[in-house]
Amino acid sequence: MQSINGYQYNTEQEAINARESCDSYYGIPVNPNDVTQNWVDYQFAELNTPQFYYIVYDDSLLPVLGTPTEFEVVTPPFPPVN
Amino acid sequence: MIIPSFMGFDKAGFGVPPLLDLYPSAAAAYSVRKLRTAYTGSAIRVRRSSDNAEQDIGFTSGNLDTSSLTTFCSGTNGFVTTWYDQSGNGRNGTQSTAVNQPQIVSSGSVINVNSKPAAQFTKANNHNLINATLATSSAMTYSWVGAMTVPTSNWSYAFEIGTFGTTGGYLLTPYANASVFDYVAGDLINFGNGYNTGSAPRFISNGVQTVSNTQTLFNGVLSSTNAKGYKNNSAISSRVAITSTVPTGTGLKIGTNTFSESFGGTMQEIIFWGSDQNSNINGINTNTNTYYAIY
Repeated sequence: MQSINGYQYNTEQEAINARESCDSYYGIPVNPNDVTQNWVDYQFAELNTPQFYYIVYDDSLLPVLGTPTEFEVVTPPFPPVN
Repeated sequence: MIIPSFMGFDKAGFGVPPLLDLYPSAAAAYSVRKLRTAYTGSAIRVRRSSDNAEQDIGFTSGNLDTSSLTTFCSGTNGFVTTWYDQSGNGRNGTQSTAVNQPQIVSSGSVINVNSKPAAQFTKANNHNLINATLATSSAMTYSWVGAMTVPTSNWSYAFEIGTFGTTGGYLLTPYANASVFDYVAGDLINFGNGYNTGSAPRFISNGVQTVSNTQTLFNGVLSSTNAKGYKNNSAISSRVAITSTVPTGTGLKIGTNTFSESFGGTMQEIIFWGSDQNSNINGINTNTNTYYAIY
């Protein structure tokens, strides 16, 4: 279990919308051929029940996504035995 | 002293021949110095924070062109979008997400470690660079120059090839949790395939090897005959060293791993050879230390 400061979304589309809001705010990409294609990306909490999507907080996200919240993401304490 | 050009010495500036002229056939090679005379590409591509524009930055006299870098960033911050592969294999490390890009210029000043430029990886931001094609299917050797911030829990992956726990290739990480399997807090670890007791090949140091935020040259060799670790050109004594097979895996992550267990600290050079270079370690390290003055 890992405590995350960030933004939590129930659906992938909500996470995509949040990502696009950040891209729009920061004007990313500046050029279509730039390496940088997104300002921030989202992650999938696949081990949580129910599963959800989230974006980890960064200071640059505050003016776009607002105040972050604390939530728990289930992570393997040690990766699964191979 | 006159250095004969036929020995491949770079006469332009830094006094040592490009490393890969002496120890060629690297699988992938990233550095703030020029590593191969025949390489004509850039060192890095940088995004500046003022307007998010990007520009390639090359070399001058074998060194990262810091003049072009600071001119481009013009008093603001600069972030590495691409660390170009100098091996000739085109395995560039890239990061397409802005907040995950390691930093190399801060408020107009190049980030330096021991007077040489360095990419700053912030653990909380999961700074990392990715190449999807670097693969291991045989013996592997790495040379790494940087300064780690030793983690207070879990791992801090300087790099990973493949997928940790399954067919992972090379990983360089200190371990910070309670003992599990045959790992003890403070271990420095090079994994091969898997991590369980008995997984091979693997190298686990005997005791703590990493000093936080101290520039260090690490090497690892994993092959069917060698499971070695070196720190500043001295062999690290091993508590576990298992050979008998070779690491396999596909996909390089610099500064993180499959589980986003990110690296904190700086990096200046990472070179991978798809072969056992154990007999060349001293030569590789002598060349590297002549440039970076690490130890």
